[in-house]
Amino acid sequence: MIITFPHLGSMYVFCKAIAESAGIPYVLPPATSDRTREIGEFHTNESVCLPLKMILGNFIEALEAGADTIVMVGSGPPCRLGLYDRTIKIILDDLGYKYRWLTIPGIFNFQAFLQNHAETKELKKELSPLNIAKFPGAIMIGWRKMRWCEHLERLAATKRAVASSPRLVDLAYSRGMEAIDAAKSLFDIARAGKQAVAELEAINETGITPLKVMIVGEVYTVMEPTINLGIERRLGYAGVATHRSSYFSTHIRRGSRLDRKILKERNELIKLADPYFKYDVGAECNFSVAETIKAARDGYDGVVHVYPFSCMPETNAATVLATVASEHKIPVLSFALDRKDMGLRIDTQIEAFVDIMKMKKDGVTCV
Amino acid sequence: MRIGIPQELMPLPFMAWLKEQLSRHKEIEWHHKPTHKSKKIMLSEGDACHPFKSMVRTSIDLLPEIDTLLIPRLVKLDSHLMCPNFRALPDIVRLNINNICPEFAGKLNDITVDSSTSDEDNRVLIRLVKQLFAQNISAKNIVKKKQIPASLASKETTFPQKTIALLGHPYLLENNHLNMGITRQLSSLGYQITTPKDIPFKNLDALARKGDYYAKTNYWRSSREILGAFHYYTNIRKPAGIIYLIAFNCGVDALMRIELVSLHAKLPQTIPFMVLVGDEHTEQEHTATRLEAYLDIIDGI
Repeated sequence: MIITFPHLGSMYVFCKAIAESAGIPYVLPPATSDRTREIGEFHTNESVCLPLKMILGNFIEALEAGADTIVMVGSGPPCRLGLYDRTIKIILDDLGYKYRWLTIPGIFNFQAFLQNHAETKELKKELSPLNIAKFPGAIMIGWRKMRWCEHLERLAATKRAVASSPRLVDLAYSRGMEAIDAAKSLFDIARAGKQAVAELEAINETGITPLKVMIVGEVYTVMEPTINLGIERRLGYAGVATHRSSYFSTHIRRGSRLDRKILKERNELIKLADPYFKYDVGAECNFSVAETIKAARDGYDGVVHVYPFSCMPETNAATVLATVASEHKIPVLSFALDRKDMGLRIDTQIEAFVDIMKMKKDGVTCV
Repeated sequence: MRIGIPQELMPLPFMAWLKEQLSRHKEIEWHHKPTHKSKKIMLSEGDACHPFKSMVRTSIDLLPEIDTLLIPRLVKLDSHLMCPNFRALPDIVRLNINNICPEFAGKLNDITVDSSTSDEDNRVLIRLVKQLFAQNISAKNIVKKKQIPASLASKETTFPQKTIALLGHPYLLENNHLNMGITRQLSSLGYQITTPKDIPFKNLDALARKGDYYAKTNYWRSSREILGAFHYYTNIRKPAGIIYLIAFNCGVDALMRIELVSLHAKLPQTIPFMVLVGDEHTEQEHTATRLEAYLDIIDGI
């Protein structure tokens, strides 16, 4: 058994740590590239959302590199994410790949339990008692690594905007991620994390108060820089500090329904979006709207809304955000993302968006 | 009383039943404006599928001539989910009303329909009658939905020669504006048309169950209808060809298309199958060209 998993922000560090610590062989898919996207595009169609194309590309590249067992996070209705595994399996089968599939249920219900039982029946035979005994510790290591990675992501997203040289932030961030990824014990993880934080904090600052932007939108698009074309980094280089609520650990805590605080926050956000959406449209739609309203109330300078082209829930959110922006007097920039060759367009739009935010902050009004 | 329902929603069997039932309780003048390109600038002109944009435009255009605009929030019909756009449709219409014609702000009725059984359909109707006419009605007075004769039981295994099966969302199959005149073109070329509307949904649902496993059921009603119909037309009663009509950017069809193409490739006997993606084209030459080439294939077999 050689497992593989898709790229989703820093999730690979979590999955890799679990596999390594539990002694399970794995193949990390090559970093998501133009080839990954082109593979996904070639085997799907124009209206399939970008995350599915990227994940499919990740899996094909991993299977080509020797993986034989795909581990995929599941989800439920009403958005298409709940049917990614069904669709990807059809494509892989048609292409003649031999593989096993393990879905990590997004929602823990009886059907998910039955599916997990069926999928793991054969896989369990290939695991030794030692692998299984190491599993709780492996999850602990993976979790700590992911939390540190996310902490670095947060720090870098604000530091870029104020650093004299944002490039130094990128370098320190990359070094920190590599060190955390390479750490083998909880002690080593904490040491690597603290050192990376110290390096980031030591970078010289311009002293200019940065603009503050909230990033909202579809989960995968918000979290994966190869899909959103490094929107956080691009904004950071333009002197904008970015914040977001969507991190892999947040979604694990939401999915497990154990963290009452997060569930309460979600309910409050649903209420916040109520003047615009009287019903939960699905996925992050209502939350994109609610977080924009909250950002306006919390004094943010603007909101960037990212979603894959053809995403059903977020298309509705984009429509509503046009009104939210004018009613709550907050600039909103929406990006429907698909092909990768739109980086320069994003830079141009960001430049104009930054100008608008600056003008608003300085009280300049257009006639 | 004048009630408006966007014409694009009317091909849904639930909507036809609702209209029929409401008419039994009050004299109603129904309005369903034909789909057309409105000149008003809507907020919903982004990357949604064109039937959705069309529904919003039709809704807004209906407002001056009606007392109530009825756009139920269709969450679930026949135990299966509708796509997320149907959940948001009333909200997007309301937003456009507030933006374009706020004087009609109170006219929208967006009753939520989340039904798995006919009892739940009845409850929606009872609530609606109360909201619209301030009347209380009993479930006993409600006429059940008309059941289509179980044609699956038919011993016929083929259709008359020159019959084409059309797959797709009901509003695409029945609205000539949305389907780019495909049905009209097929008829003018001497072909008969059959659609999933001729088959009871529960039979289609049962056929669609073949591809389900545990939590991975295809949860959209329209997907199940299309998938079930594909199984029906390829295994039970075979037409000369199958055309799958898709509105550009439809998220549901984007995945279903992959599944149907895969199933078609595995068929022991080939039935010509064409996927036709349409958008808000003003001309129909591109569909006519594809259709002619496709029919040449069928005539050549």
